Amino acid sequence: MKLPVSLLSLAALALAGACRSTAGAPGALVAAPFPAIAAENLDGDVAVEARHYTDHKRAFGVDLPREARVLPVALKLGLAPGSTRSLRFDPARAALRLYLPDGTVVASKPASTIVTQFKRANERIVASALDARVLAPWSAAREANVYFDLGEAGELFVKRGEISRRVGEEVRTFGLEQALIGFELEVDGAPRSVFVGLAPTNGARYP
Amino acid sequence: MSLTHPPFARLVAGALGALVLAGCSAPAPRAERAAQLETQLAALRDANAAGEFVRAADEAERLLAQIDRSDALGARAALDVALEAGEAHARLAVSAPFLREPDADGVWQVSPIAHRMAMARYYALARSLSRRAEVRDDQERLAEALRGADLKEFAFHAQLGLEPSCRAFIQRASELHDPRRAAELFQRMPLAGLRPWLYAELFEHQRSRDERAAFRFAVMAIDEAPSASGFGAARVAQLERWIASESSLEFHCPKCDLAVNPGLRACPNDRTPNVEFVGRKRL
Repeated sequence: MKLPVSLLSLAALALAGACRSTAGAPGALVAAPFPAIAAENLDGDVAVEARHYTDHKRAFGVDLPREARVLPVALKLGLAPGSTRSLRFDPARAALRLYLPDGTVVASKPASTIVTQFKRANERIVASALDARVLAPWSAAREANVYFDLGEAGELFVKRGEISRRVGEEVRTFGLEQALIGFELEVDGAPRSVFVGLAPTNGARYP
Repeated sequence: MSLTHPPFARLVAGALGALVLAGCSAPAPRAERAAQLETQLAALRDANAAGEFVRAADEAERLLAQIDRSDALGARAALDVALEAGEAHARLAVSAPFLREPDADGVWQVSPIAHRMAMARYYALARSLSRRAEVRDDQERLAEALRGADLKEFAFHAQLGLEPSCRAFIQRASELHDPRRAAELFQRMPLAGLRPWLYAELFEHQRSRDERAAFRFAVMAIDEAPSASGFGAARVAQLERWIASESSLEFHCPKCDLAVNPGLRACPNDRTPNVEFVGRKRL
């Protein structure tokens, strides 16, 4: 009695395999990461690093993507060694943007407009924000935060170094190391675009 | 199977018979599936060829969500679709971008960079599938298409000014170190509008290593600059300055010995192209 049952199971399995040919089984889309650490701009005047601290809750007291719908990114911006130019960053004119691998672009959100339920977190968000400045030499540069607007709940999600975007019924998930950050600054008074990859990192500390 | 057989045996035989019948009518055996995938791919290629890049990009995304990539046939189909999707976004970036990004005033403007991000995503998918995709008699064409994808991504990184990744790419691609071989490769590929970025990046790589090669790359970048939007006058001026005064070599016409004028494309005496000029130590 065991034999026919086994045959039946095998036949069913074989048929199931044969019928899979048009079933959807999409693989992951993997993009090459962009340089994120001490990447220098084309003319060598700008040095920049960008990190998303996956444990940023240690510094802010809250999980910012969940509590405030923003993605915090620690930017370290400085004058590259050997450069004698004057570089100025102004967050109000920087047009900070986060490019996702599927072509979605996420805009930044001014620190002063970000609100959580927690007063200390709100203070920390503003206190650690990257403000307008003439860039210091790289050796004296310090990290400061910029924040990307994840919009209304339901479209963009950030968790453990990954960002997901809902498109209709589909959810696209990318590692943040596949994203790209762009912004504008002034080099000797002339506008210049700067691009840098993003490094998801553990080890958040108060900037 | 007669009624004299026990009921269980009849049940098993009936079930197996039903399975065999169902198997015979199972959708998409290999040949049928291959033909179906080829038809879908042909429609996608037609859309790109007709300049309907938005339709091609949408259709490619839909196909990639449908195609089962678990076997070599599906992997190859998805690879071909991903290459077409990357091409659609590469063309949209220069012809009719619709993805948007905010400018310094907070106004959302069309974004060629966003399209190039999408391009890079599809090319990365194509590369990852190439390892397990079905081998056909068009392997050479496929290898060329993947090489073109690599070069478009290299140009994208060059446009962004991402020096570390450009350096790494050039170091891996030894055929790009030679100006003649690089030019042959770039002319063979559909890289319209991207060549100045590629040549300029190769100039940067060679300027501290081989100034004669750097000169040729600089001249080719200048010659191709009018074909590329975004390759600005400042960048051309930077290349011309290096040729005219910053290089340790002087470049002269091999026929009449006139010193190069980087603002011209050829010797004004005998029309020898600047790229053929020869270098000698500056006095």
